[in-house]
This record gives sequence, C-alpha cells and structure tokens, in this order.
Amino acid sequence: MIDELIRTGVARFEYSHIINHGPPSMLAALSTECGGDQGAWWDFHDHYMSQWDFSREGAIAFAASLSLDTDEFTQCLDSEKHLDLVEGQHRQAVADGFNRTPTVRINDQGGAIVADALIGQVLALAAELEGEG
Amino acid sequence: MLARMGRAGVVLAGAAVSAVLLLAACSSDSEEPQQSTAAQVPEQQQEQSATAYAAGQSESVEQQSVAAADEAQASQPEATQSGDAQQGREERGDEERVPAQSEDGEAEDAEQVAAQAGDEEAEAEEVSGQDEVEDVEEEAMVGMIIESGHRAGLFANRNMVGDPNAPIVITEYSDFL
Repeated sequence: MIDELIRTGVARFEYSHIINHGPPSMLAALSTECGGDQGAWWDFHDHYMSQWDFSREGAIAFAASLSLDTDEFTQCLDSEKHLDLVEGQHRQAVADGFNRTPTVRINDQGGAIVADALIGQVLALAAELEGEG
Repeated sequence: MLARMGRAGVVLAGAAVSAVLLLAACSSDSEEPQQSTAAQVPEQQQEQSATAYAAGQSESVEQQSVAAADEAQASQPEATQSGDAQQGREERGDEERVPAQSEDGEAEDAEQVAAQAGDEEAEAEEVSGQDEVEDVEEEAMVGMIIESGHRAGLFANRNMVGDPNAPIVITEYSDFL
C-alpha cells in the first residue's frame, strides 16, 4: 500500500538520524552515510536494522561483503566525514520535538508506530489531498 | 391463714423472680441479633471492599477492610457488656466466637491480600506482554516500509525513497538501536 503511494508520486519516505544511544548509534549512522557515498545507503540501513554488531570492524567487513571500496569506506568512517550531516539531522529532529526512536512523522503530523495505523493515516491524508485536488 | 398467705407470698415472690429471670432471658436473646448484626456489618463491608478491589481500588479497599475488621472487634465487647449474670454463659460463648470471627476476618484479609498480589502479578504480566506486542509491531512497521520501498526498485537517494516532490512525506526518526 505504501509502495503504491510512493510509486505513484503521492508519498515519499525519508529516514532521519537520531543519536540516542551514544557511540553505537553514531557509528551506525556514519557507516550508513559512508556506504551511501558508494550507493549502498539502504544496504547499510537494512544491515543495521537486522543485526546488532555496531563495531567499526563489523561495518568495514559489511562494506567488503558488498564489494565496496573498503579503503575509501574506512577513511570516510575514521574521519567522521558525515558527522555534521548526522548531528544536523539529530538536532533538527530534537528541535521538531522528535526525540524518541523510532518515531514517525507524516508531513506535520505525528505518525503512528503501528503499521496498520500508519497506513491508515497515510491513506486518509492521500484521500484528503485528492479531494482538495 | 397466715401460713397460706405466706405460702402464697412465697409463690408470688417465686413467680416474680421467674418473671424477672424470663425477662432477663428475653432481653439477652434480643441482644444476640444485635451482636450478629454488628458482626455482619463488617462482613458486608468486606464484600463491598472485595467488589471495589475488583474495580482496581486496591489501597482504599485495604483501608476499608482493616477498618471493618477493627469495627467488628470493637463492636463485640460493647454487645457483651450489656448483658446480665445470666448472659455470662453466652458471654463466654461470645468471647469464644469473637476470636474465631477475628480469625475469619484475618483469613479473609489474607485471602484478599493474596488475591491482590495475584492480580498485580497478572497485570504486570499483561503489561509486559503488551510491550512485547508493541515491539513486534514496531519491527514489522520498520521492516515493511523499508523493504517495500527499497526492494521494490523505487527511486532511492541516500536516505529518501520516492519522488522528492511528493506531497506526503513519511519521515522515520531512528538510530538503528
């Protein structure tokens, strides 16, 4: 259902970093952004969503498993190349009142955490926008 | 003649004494229901307390139950003090009953406390179960959106999936942990 709304240009999905658990959170966020430099942002996202290894070595090993340039990835990670981006997203989220994880927002409204309720909210908003259009 | 009158007087006096004793007996009988009524009131209150507890008013119910037990114990001595000599045997009986009723009250209190503890444990387990369900639902939500967006071959640019100009923006704030 969300797929269809995204496919038809009605909705888009975005992910925003919040650093609520210290170094492991920061390493996962920086690794994901460094993976994004080589077109693997969502691969890292899915990786961290499915396992609990938040070590530097684990991130480099996963980059290697995706056949990424591990030297570039390691340099990106160790230099904290995307620190400003990650911290900026965190600060903006907190400033907007979103400091719990996970939290979902639909435009300016708070989104439901439960999948069915979230889909219901998006569909209702889509119908409302269609009616206005 | 005098002897007859004296005998009659003795008979009358005996009848009078019998009447007094009978009245005394009747009066003691009439006090028994009062005693039992006084003893029933706490039981009714305890039943009400149990009902109120079922509605979740645990603290106030405990206080009501304890107060009712105190009233029951206090009402028993008052009832026995009003009796006369003939009530002595019944008083001993009452005294024997009072501790028994008190023990019953304590037993009921103990049962209520045990039931309360059981209910609290059940509530704690229920809350824990709800948390687990919410965790599973959260995981399901995250996985569904990401997998459906990412693996369906939709346009993806770093942290965004879909048309950058789409009117509806679903934003997830998370840190993977």
